[in-house]
Amino acid sequence: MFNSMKLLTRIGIVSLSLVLMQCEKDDICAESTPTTPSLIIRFYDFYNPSELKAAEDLNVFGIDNSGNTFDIIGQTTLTTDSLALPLPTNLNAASFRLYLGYLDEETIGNGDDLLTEFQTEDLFVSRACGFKTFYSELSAETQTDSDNWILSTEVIQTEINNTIHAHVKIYH
Amino acid sequence: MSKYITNLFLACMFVCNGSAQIATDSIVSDSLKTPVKFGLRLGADLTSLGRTVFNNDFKGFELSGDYRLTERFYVAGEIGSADKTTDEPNINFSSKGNYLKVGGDFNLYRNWDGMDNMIYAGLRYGISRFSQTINSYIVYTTNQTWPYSVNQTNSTYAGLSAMWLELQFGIKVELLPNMFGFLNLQLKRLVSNQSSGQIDNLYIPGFNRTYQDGQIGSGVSYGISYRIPFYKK
Repeated sequence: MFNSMKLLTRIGIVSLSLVLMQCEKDDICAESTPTTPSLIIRFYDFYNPSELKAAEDLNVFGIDNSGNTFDIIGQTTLTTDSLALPLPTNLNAASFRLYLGYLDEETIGNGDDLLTEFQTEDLFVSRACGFKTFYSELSAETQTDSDNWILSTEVIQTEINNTIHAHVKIYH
Repeated sequence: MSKYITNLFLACMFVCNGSAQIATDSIVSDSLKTPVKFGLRLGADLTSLGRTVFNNDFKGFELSGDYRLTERFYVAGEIGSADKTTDEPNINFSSKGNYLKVGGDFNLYRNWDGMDNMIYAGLRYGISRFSQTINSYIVYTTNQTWPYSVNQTNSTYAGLSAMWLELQFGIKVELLPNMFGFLNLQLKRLVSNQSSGQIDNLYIPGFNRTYQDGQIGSGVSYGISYRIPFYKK
């Protein structure tokens, strides 16, 4: 009687620990899981459109509905030919202000506004991650001001479902 | 908490059982084997009953039954219903449906004369039909600089189904004549899993929670059952 009971207890413990081991990795959304993708922008030379051209001392802000700006890439400036911008998940438009030659808050350089519009659809990912947003029908244009550094924009992929390929080309 | 209740329950069953054993020993004086009772045993699961009473996020029941074919082998099954709401950090959903499990139990324990307890291994084939409703969710982003909100939805995916094989290990102890307490652990493996296509089946009534990268599930049940005796042999 008690030998069988011991055996049963052991089987029980092994089964339970198997199950517990399984759920730990299921309960946290792993960083490697593809979730909501960012908008990928690549910078090209306007006068030599096949060549990448880094934007120097770039700083980017988001613009909310009431026209206020907020940090989007943090308090740093970048010199890069490739930029990943997060998009809102519950709106159909997003505006960004891109400063070229932003040195500090005194010397902000030249700011151009990039307006994007898109449709969103929420897709199931997993128990731990919930949903991600899939963006489609992407459009992007620069608002004309007296001194644009962005000379032209081109949407090369209207669907945003990964961050492997660029979605928008900016010529400057 | 439930762990202690389980322990208490187990301890009680074996204490009751032990005293019964001593009593029986002293009575048995001849070498004739006491006939074994055959009948239909019907039981109710107390885990789902307890959760229905004490948890707001679960409503359900499970009835079990077994019928003795030979001294050690029983056909057995369970029928049940569950309506469970699960709240995960990024998703809140409800699963609702019915299930049926059919199979058999084999008693691994050789009873002393006149006793009728089981330490058993059982096999079941389970089938469940259910629906899944997404109540709310948050879109997962790695960069949350834009304002975000919890999305309320009410999208129900009906007509879902799943089938699984289940291994049970457990005990059934006669506490009073024809009155049994039972406890079992269940290890399950999905055989088929029909989801809506858009969303995985996150919880299957009868199978319990599912795992993203696996087909394995688990369960536990304890309760009481009553044997309607048909004949002795």
